[in-house]
Parts: sequence; structure tokens; C-alpha cells
Amino acid sequence: MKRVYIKSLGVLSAAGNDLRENIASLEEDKSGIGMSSVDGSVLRLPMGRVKFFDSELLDRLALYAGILHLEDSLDELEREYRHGGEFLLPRTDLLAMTAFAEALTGYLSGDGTCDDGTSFAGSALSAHGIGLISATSTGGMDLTERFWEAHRSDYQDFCMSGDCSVTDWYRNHPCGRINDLICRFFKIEPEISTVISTACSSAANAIMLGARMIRSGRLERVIVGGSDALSRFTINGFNSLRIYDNEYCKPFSSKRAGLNLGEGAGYLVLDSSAESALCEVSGWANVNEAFHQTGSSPDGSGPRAAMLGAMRVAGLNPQDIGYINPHGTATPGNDLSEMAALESIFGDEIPYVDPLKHLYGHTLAASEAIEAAMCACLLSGKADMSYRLAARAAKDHEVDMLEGKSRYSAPHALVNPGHVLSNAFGFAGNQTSLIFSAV
Amino acid sequence: MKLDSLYIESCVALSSGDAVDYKALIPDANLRRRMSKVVKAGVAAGLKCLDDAGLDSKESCSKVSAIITATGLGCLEDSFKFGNSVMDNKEDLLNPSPFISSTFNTVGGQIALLRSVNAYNNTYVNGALGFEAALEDAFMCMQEGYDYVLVGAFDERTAESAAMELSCLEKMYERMEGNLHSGDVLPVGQEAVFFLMRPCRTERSLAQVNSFETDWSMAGQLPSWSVYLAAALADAIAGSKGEIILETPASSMSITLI
Repeated sequence: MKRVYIKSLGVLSAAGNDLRENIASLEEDKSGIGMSSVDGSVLRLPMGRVKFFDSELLDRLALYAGILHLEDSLDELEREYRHGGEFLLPRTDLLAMTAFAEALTGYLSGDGTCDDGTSFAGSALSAHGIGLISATSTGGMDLTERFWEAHRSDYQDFCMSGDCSVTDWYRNHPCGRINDLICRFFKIEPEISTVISTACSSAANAIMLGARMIRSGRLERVIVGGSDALSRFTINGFNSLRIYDNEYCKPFSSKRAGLNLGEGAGYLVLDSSAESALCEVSGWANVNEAFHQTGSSPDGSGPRAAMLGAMRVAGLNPQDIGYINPHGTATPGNDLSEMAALESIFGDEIPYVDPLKHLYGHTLAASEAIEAAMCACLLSGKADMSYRLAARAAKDHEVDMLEGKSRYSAPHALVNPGHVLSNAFGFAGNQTSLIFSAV
Repeated sequence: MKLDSLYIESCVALSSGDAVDYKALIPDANLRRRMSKVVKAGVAAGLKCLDDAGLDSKESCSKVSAIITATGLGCLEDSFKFGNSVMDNKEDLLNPSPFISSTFNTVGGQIALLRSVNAYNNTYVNGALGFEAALEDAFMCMQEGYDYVLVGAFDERTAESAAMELSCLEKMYERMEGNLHSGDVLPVGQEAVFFLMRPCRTERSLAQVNSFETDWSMAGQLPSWSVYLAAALADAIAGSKGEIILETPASSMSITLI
């Protein structure tokens, strides 16, 4: 059976417009969440907004297109989606394409960073045997809801009027469009191209599917990731569920009162070759908790099954895990359930638990792509673990749920965590755990 | 790709207008009331498919090792309902139910919940080709030693989405010099098709899936309707014995009816 390695990363989040900026924010524990509102919304709440406007995302995409010799793709994108002063491509897709471009450029430059790209044509990625697996929960909702607000009373006349603008507004609404846009822009013809949507665990399932496809020999390499833009739909959805904290979210704190949403995208190049890999994807499990449509079980049976399942695939025992990146949304229910599961597996010797959603907000289908990328950076030394631990140590009191229950009090022992467990749980009972291992 | 061990044990297809005894399949009246038409059709098709394969209780359903669903546009009625309420109520005092059910994995999650299936659960949303991705996954599950894998596709069109989709398609077909004409209509309604698959032939086996090929690049050129291949497969299974080649706009599949 083949092994699965992470070779390259691309990340956009509130905490940084590329991988390098995200690493800096991770090391300093610097949050990108701020008070804001989405277009058309009266709700002013803390949220993790990617700092680039759409026009700046396009500029960044143009930069990568230059490196990859894809200037014609950029021209075509402009021709298709620029109408008057407006650029009518969903932000979810723009975020995805930009993160994908960073991951691709990094892969081609060979060391996982984006310092210098090599020729795209003729590279392993343009050849056969690659796959593309994306994840999104909103698709083109951010653009659709703007159109819908303006035209919901006259949509039938508007649609029949032959006015091409409805096409441009709505065309990229379906989640599946994200891959079509990527394939056309980057001129790749994947052997398998699909999109996953299991709410907040979507990207974790994309990583897991990609890993399974490499392990089984179905593919040599596969680019996996997720993207979600902020939208009125999701902000109001979580707000109506009363799990949106109107203050800054506090994962694994006894004072936590809910999540903050965020937006972002992450893509990872997975490959069967270990050469210059950042880390290995060694374990995975997806288990439906079958407890409640949205709520988590207070005893953590689902998270427990997912974490143990991932350890089984990796051939590891609980004591082998050195570091845990929890789902940690900061909702009362999730963190309670996840903590119960951690205690049931690790007793009072829980490894260092490091929630990250206070940096980005909960980026839904992108969240595990971003957090997996950060785990890969910590494992490979691209992000300095000792900086991160020192920054966290100053804020120990904020994650007081773990007090006295974890090896948290001696984080200096953690410069090389060896094996990292990362969780992503979602609506409808979806629980996915992944394990990343140092190479 | 060639599949050497994928057998269909039961198959259920439900379309708008089919007479279905939802009460028997989903006894909880409150739950039934909260479900939109497509969620109800999807969940009922999935549950009936389990029943028909002899997995008619929570106990017997503990054998199910994966639930894999596909949908192009997910639960549209709920999405519109919640989106409209955001605008109508000025973002205040919203009912979260349609938001909860608008997620694409609602059907897969509800089936797991109703039958206590603590197992692998995934949902594919790549336009017209989600079912093909679900099949790839199901086959990989079999290779990994899984048994009793429930695979299904569901989609719905509302009046709103059909109008928007049609205007997009017209434009697209115009570019491709295709033959969709203004005034054509897309059917409004729901369709859900589920299969229970196993890696071995049994006396219940209805068909063996021998191989299938998909042109994944077609996902962006077809309406986001995930049910094409699933519906063709269900139709074929209702027919006579022998080897059959199914063709859809993006995929072809070889099956042997047993």
C-alpha cells in the first residue's frame, strides 16, 4: 500500500493572505478576526474576513498566473466575468483559485514554498494520474444572494428577458463549479474531479478521500482543499441557531459562548512520493455520530470513534499523539463533546491541545484545509513550534477547560510533536479525524 | 474503471408524484413535517432501500458500513426558504430549521440518525457527476473491506432555480451551438435514487456493476442534476436480464443483470 505525503500548501484566511503570512500569525497567535458586516447585512459581528478585496485577490491570482505562464487564462476570466464595473465571480471561487495557485506554484518550485515557479507544461501535475478534490458548503451563495435580493420579486421576467446578467450572477452558484473553474484556469485534466460538502467537516473529508485514493493506488497525486466565503446566509444561519458569539470566540474556554464565522481557502498537494515532503498523512476516519441533526453528543461518542479510527489506520496508540488540533469551534456543545471524547481516550494525560479558530473564525468547509496546512507547517518546522508555544503560554488561561487535564503545563516538551491529531466535525453528525506525522 | 466486486442488492427510485407511504418509513410526524419534499424523498428512498435489502431495523442496520450521497444543488427549497426569511424578517427572529436542512449532507445524516448508522458518511456535490464520485468512493470502500454500502443521489428543482438554471443553460448551449431553445422548460420537482451495494454476490443480488467511465470535465457543462446515471441504472435494473451498457451525457456504465 502506498503512503501519502503533503508536498505543498496554499492558504488564505483572516490571519493572512498567503501561507507565509498565516505562518507568522500562527507563531504569534495573532487573530485576524474583527468586527464587520457582510454585504447587505445589518448584523455587525466579529468575523474572520480575508483582508484582500476581490480586486486584490485577482491581482494575486494574476501574479501566480504570470509565474505559471497562464496569462491567457486570466484574460479569459476577465472577458467572461467582468461586466461594467463588476467582476461577477463568487468570492468562494476566487479564494479557492488563489489558494490553489499558491499550492501549485509551491509544488512546482519543489520545496513547498512559492519563491520561484518552474514551467507548468510538462510537469507531473499537467500529466495524467492527478486528481482534484475540493470542498465547499456555500458554493456561489455570496454572489447569488446579492442577485436574489435585487430580483426575487421579478426573477421570472428577469430570467426570461434574455439579459445575460442573470447567467453571470447565477452560473457559478452550484458547488461543483469550483472544480470547473480551477480546471479551466490552470488547464488541468484530472483523472478524477469532485467536490465534497459535509458542512464543517468538508475539507477533512476531501483530504481523507485524496489520501485513500493515493493509498489504494488509484492516483499518484491529488490536490485537495476547501473554500468558503462569508455570506449573509451562513452568518444568519448560525446566528439564528444562537451559537454565534457576538464577542470574540473563545475555543476550549469555560467562558465560551459560540463561534465566529470566517472565510478562507486552503489547498494541499498530496503525493505518493516522500521526496521533500512536509509531512505524511498517516491516519483518517469518518464516522457519523447519529446523535442529532446539528448538536453534538455530550459524551463525545462520535468524536471518540473518529479519533480512535484514525489512530487505527495510522497504527498508533493514544500515547503516540504529541499534539492535537481540535475542531474547537467555541460553541458550548462542540467543545464539551470534544473534551469528553479527549478525556475518554487520553484520561488526564491529554496531549497538548491547540485550538486555532480564534485566529480565523470558523471557515466551515475550508477550516480543515487551513488547519491541516498549519499542522503540516508545525510538523515540518516551516512554522516554529517554540514561538507558537510561547505565544500560547501567555494566554493559557483562555483555554481553561484543559487545566489540570493535559500535558499542557509542559508544552516545551513539544518541539517535535511527531504525530498530530486534527479534528473536523460537522452538522448532520459528520465526524472526521486526521493524523499527520513527521517525516 | 473496471470494478471486480460491486453488486447491487436493492434499488429504490422515487420521483415527484410517486405515491409513497412516508408515514411508514418516517413514523415521527414532527420530523416528517419539518422535512422538505426532497429531504423526505431522499430519506424515504434510502430507508426503503435498506428495508428491501433486509436491513429493516436499527439492529440490522449496524451492518451498514457507509452511507454515500450525491446531490447537485442540495436542498433548494430550504435554501430559498431561509434566504427569503433573512430578507423578509430583516435578519431578526429567524427560524433556523430550513438553514439546518439546507446543508448538502442532510439526507445522508438523517438516514444515519434514523437507523443509528455510526459509520462512514460522505456527500458529493460536483454538479451532474456527484453520483459517479459516490460510486468511486463506494468501490474504494469495498476494496477497504467494507460491506453494505448505501449509495444514492437526490436533487430537486424549484420554480425559482429552474428559471435561473434555464437562462444559464440557454447561454451555454448558445455558445456550444447546441439546441436548447428559449421556452424550453426544466421540470420542477424531486428525484431520489438509492442502491444498497455489497462486494459479493448473494441470492438477493439484482445486478453487478462491471465498469464505468466518466468524463469529469462534463460536470461544468451539464445542469447540476446528480441523478442522471443513478436513474438510468435504476431503470435498467427494472428491466430484463443480461449485460447492458448505460449511456448518460458524461458517463457510460456496464452492468450485468442477475
